[in-house]
Amino acid sequence: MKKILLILCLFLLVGCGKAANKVYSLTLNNKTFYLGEEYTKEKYGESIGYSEVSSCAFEGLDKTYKYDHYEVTTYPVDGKDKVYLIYFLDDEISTTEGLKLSDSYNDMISKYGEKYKKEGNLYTYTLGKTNLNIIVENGFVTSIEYAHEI
Amino acid sequence: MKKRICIIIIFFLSLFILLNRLVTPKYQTELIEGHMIKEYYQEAKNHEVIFIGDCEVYANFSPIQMYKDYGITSYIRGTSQQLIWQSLEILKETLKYEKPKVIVFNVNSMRYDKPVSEAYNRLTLDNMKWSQEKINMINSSMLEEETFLSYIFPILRYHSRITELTKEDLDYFLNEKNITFNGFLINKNIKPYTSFPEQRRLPSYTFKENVYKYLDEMVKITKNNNIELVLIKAPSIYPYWYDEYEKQIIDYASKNNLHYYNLKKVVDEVGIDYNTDTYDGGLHLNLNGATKLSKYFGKLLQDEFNLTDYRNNESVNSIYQNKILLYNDAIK
Amino acid sequence: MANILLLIISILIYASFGLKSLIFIVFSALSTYLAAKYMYKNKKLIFYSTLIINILILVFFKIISFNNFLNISILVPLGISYYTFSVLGYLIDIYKEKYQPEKSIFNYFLFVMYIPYLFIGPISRYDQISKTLYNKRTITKDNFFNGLIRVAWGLFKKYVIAGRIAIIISTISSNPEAYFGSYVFLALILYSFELYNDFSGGIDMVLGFSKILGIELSENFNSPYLSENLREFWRKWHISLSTWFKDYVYIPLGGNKCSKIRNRINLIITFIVSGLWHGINYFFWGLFHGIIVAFTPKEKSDFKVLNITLTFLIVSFLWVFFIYPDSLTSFKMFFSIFYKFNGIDLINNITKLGLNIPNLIIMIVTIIIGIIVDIKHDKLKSIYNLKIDKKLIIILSLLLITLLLGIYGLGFEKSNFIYSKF
Repeated sequence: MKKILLILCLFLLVGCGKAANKVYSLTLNNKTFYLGEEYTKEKYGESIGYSEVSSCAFEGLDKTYKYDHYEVTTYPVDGKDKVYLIYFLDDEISTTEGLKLSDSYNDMISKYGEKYKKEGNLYTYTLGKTNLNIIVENGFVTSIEYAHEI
Repeated sequence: MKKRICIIIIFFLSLFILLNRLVTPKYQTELIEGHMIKEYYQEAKNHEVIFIGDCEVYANFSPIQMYKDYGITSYIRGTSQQLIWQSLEILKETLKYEKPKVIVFNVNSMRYDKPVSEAYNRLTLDNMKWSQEKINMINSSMLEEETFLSYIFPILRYHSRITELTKEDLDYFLNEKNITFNGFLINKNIKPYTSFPEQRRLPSYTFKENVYKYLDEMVKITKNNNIELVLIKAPSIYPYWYDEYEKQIIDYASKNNLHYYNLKKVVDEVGIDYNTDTYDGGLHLNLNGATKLSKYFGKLLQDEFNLTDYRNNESVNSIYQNKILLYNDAIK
Repeated sequence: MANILLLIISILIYASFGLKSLIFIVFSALSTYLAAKYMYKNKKLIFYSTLIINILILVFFKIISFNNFLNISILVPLGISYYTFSVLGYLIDIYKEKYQPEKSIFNYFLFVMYIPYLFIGPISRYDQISKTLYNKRTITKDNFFNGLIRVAWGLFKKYVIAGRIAIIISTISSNPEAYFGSYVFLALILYSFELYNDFSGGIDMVLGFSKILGIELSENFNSPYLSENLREFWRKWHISLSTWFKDYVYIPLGGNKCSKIRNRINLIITFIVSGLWHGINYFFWGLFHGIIVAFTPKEKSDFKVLNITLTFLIVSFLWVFFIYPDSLTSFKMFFSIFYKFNGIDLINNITKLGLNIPNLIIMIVTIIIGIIVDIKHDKLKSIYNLKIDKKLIIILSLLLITLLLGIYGLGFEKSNFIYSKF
C-alpha cells in the first residue's frame, strides 16, 4: 500500500507535465551545439571566415562564421546573436545521430525514420522549434542543415 | 438626443483616425524604405521607363543620373524585397497613371514563390494608395499571422508602438519628406567585399509554376499595351544567382521575345569595383556604383528603345532641373 | 424561431473547431436528453450507465490532454469540462426528481450548446437557465447598451490588464533556472491578477453578450480577492464551478450534516476532485485548498484588511501549480521564494521581463483600476441607469483604450482564454 502511495505521489509530482522543450543539437568533438543558443567565441572557437549578410531593408541581420567543415549562422534576438543555422560543408562531420553528406537515402531513413515533411528533394525533420533539413539527390544526401525557427 | 449621439460617434471616430495615424510608422528616419511606394503618387507622370522589382532596382539605378546624361525620364517603383506578384500589381497600378515605353523588371524575385516576411509586406504596402491592386497585393502577400483588417486599420498592427513613440512620429504627423530621387535611394557608404556564406545546395533550382504565371501576366499586359518588357539581373555577389536560374530566364526571354540583360556579366565593362562601389560588401551598389551602372544602362536603353531626350522639352526639363539641383546637393 | 437560429449558429461555430468535437458534444447532449426522457423505465440502469459513460469520456480527454508521454495527439472537444458538468448536473437533478425533464430536444440542445458559455463557462444549470434561455428573444435598447458596457469592460480586463501581465509571467515561468526567489513571488502575485482579469473578463463578455440577447446568466465572480478567508473566497470565485461541486460532490458525500471530522474529509475530497478536474497536475492545489478550507474557522477576526491580505496571499501562493508545468517544479520554485530571495536582483532587472517602463506603469495603473472597480462594485452599478449618450461614451472609451493599449496581434503571444483548457 505504501509503495502504491509513493508511486502515486511521484506520479503526481513529476508526471504529466508538458514534455521538455526538445531541440536538435549537434555534437562534434565532444562539444554539443544547441540551435537557438547564444553564439560565443569561447564555445564555438575561432572561425576561419566571417561574413555579414544584410537583406533588403534590414542591415546586418545574419552573421555567418565559417569553420573547417561547417558554417554557423546567427540572428540577433534582443541584442544577442542566437545560432539559427548550422550548415555542413563536407562529409568529414556527421550529425549527432550519425548522418553525413554522401550517405544514402536509406541511411537517412534508418537514422531519422519516416516522420519527415517532403518538399521536392528536401526532407525536413522537426523537433520542437528546430528543423533538420536534408536534401537527397539521386538517392544520396547532398545537403545537411540544422535550422532554428526565427 | 440623436444629435448628441451623432456628435459622440463623430468625436470617437476622429479620435480613432488620429490614433491610427499616430501609431503608424512614418518611415522618415528609420526603415525609410517604407516611404518609397508613396512618393510616386505626387510625381508628374511623364516617365518613359519604369523600373519594378526589389532593392536591386532602387539601390542600383539613378534616374536623375540617366536624365542628366541622356535625357531619359524614368522612375523606380521598387520596394524592399518586392515579390513578383507585388511587382505585377505595381505594374498594373502604374498603367492607370501613365503609359511608359519600357518596363524594366529585375528577375531576382523569381526565386520566391511565397511571401517571406511580414515586415517587408508592411514596407511595401503600408504607404500604397488604396486600389484594386493594393487589395490583390495584400491578399496574395499576407502571411498566416496577418489580417486584412490590420491593413485597413493600422492601429491593429501598430498599437503597441504607443509606448514607443519617437519624435519622428510627431514631427512627421502631418507632412512627410521625400527620401528618394525618382525612387532611387542614395547610399554613400562604402563596405568592401570580403566573403559570403558558401553557396547552398537547393532542393530545386526550377522557378515555381505560380511565379511563371505572374511573369506571363506581366508579358501579356505589356504586350497588350505596346510596352517593351525588359528583364534584368542587377549586379550583386550575393544572394547567389545560380546558373540554373540564368538558363531559365534566357530561355523564357527568347521564347517570349523579351530583352534580358544580366548586368552581373558586364561588371568589368561598367567599371564596378566591389571594393569601393558597394555599401554592404556586394549585395547592393552604393552611389558610386549606381552612378556607373546608370551611365551604362541609360546608354543601353537609349540605343535599344528609341527613347526621347527630354532635355529638349522645356516643360519637362524645368521639372528635372529642379530635381538635379536637389540631387547634386544630396550626392555631395 | 430566434432560439433555433441561436442553436444553429452555435452548432456552426462549434463545428468550425472540428467536426470530431461536434460528435462528442452531440453524444453527451443526446445521451443525457434521452436518459432523462426515458429514465422512468429503468431508472437506476439508465442513470448510472449514462453518468458513467459521460464521466469516462471526460476523464479520457483529461488524461490524454495532460499526458503527452502517451504521445497521442487528439483534439480535446471544446468546452468538454463545462458541458459535461452541465449535462451531468441535469441528469442528476432529473434522477433526484428535482424538476421535470425538458421535452423539446431543441431547447435541450440549446442549453448544452449555447456557444458563448462553451468557451469559458459559466457552467450552466438547467433549472436556472431555462427561465431565461427559452424566452422570446427581444433586444431592448437598455439590454443592448448595458450588455455592450459589460463586453467592453471584459475586453479591457482581458486584453489590457491580463494580457500585459501575461508577458511577465511567461518570461518568469518559462525559465525557472534564471528566475527564482523574488521573481516567483512577483509572478504569483501578478498571476492572481492575470488569471482573475483574464477569466472574469471572458465571463464579462459572455454575460454581456447574453444580456444583449436578453439572456440573464448568473454571475461567476463576486470580487473574490476581497474575501476575508478561503471559505468566502470559494463562494466568490468561479461560482458556477464551486456550487456545482458543492451540489454534486460535497453534499452527496454528506456535506456538513455529519461529524466534524467527516465534514472536513468531505471538504478535502471535494477540493481534490476539483483540482483533478483542472488536471492531474492540480492535485496538490486542490488538496491544499481543501485542507485550508476545512480548517478555516467559521468566524472571521476583526482585522478586515489583514484578513483580506492573508487570504489573497494564500490564494496567490497556491496559483504556483498553475504557473509551472509540473508539481515538482512548482514546489521547488515556491520554496525558492524563502531561501533564495533576490529582491535587489529583481528590481535591477524589472525592465528585462518583457515590459518597458511605460508598459509597467500601464500595468500597475490598470491593475489598480480593476481593484477599484471591484471595491466600488455596488456603486458602479448605477452606470446601467445612465442615459444612452453617457453609456455610449463609456463603451467607446473602453473600446478605444483597449484597441490602443491591449496586448493582441503580432509581436505578442496570442493570449488565449487561460481557463478554456480545463
